[in-house]
Amino acid sequence: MTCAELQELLLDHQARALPFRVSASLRFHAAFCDCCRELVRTYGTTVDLAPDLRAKEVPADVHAEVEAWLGRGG
Amino acid sequence: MSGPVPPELGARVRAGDPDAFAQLVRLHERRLWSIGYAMTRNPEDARDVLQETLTLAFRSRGGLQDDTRLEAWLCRIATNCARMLLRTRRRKPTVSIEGVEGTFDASGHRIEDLRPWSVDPGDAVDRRRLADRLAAASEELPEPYREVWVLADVEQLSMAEVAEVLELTIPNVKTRLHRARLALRKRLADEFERGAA
Repeated sequence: MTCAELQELLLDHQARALPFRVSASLRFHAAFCDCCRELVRTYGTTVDLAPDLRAKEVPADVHAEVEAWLGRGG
Repeated sequence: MSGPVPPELGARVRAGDPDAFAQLVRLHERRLWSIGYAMTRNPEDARDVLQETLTLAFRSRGGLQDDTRLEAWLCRIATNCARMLLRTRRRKPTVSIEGVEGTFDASGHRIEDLRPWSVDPGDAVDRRRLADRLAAASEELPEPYREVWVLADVEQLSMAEVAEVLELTIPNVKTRLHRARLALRKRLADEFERGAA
């Protein structure tokens, strides 16, 4: 596997959607390639951080506006 | 997407039942807000997106085609509203998505050097810094990539769900998402890679 091929497979690797043999080949390449090891690690970090940006709840004032609007029948 | 939708809710919404519409809104209000906020990164804009989404959904509820796809229908409206709003606002300039794949030699080996980051995502303070920077970097993503990234990585919709909301093919969603992630990773690396300027 080359660095370019590894990068192409990263999305499916992250989703654990690769066949075992391909995944093993990717890990083998990353074990001996410093750059690809960092790419796998930091790509994973970028994906892992994204749900932190998800709004956990609607702000109370906005929710109150929505409820008032619904109360008027939309 | 969210949990199971009560049976007949879609039919009742389509028939104009105000209680059913209110129930639908309450089920999905958080996600609609979150999409608007993640797309605009501005609470006032997110409020406008939510209001416009609900107004449009209310007006078009009679034309609802598939009673089982209510959340996808609402998410599509919210994404379209956010897209329209962003086009009327002065925004940070977007960065080109070209070149995010990096450079490789003829045999497929990477040419540029990737170094470890100086921050630890397992540390709460570092993680907050990284997340803040990620949010800022997402504002610079071109719209088609940002939409996919918000729905897939922030809102955690499946590829099939994102494809349904944005009316894209799954391969198209995967391509856009991968490039968005590479672009965001690159922006974080520019700041946090050891020895980065």
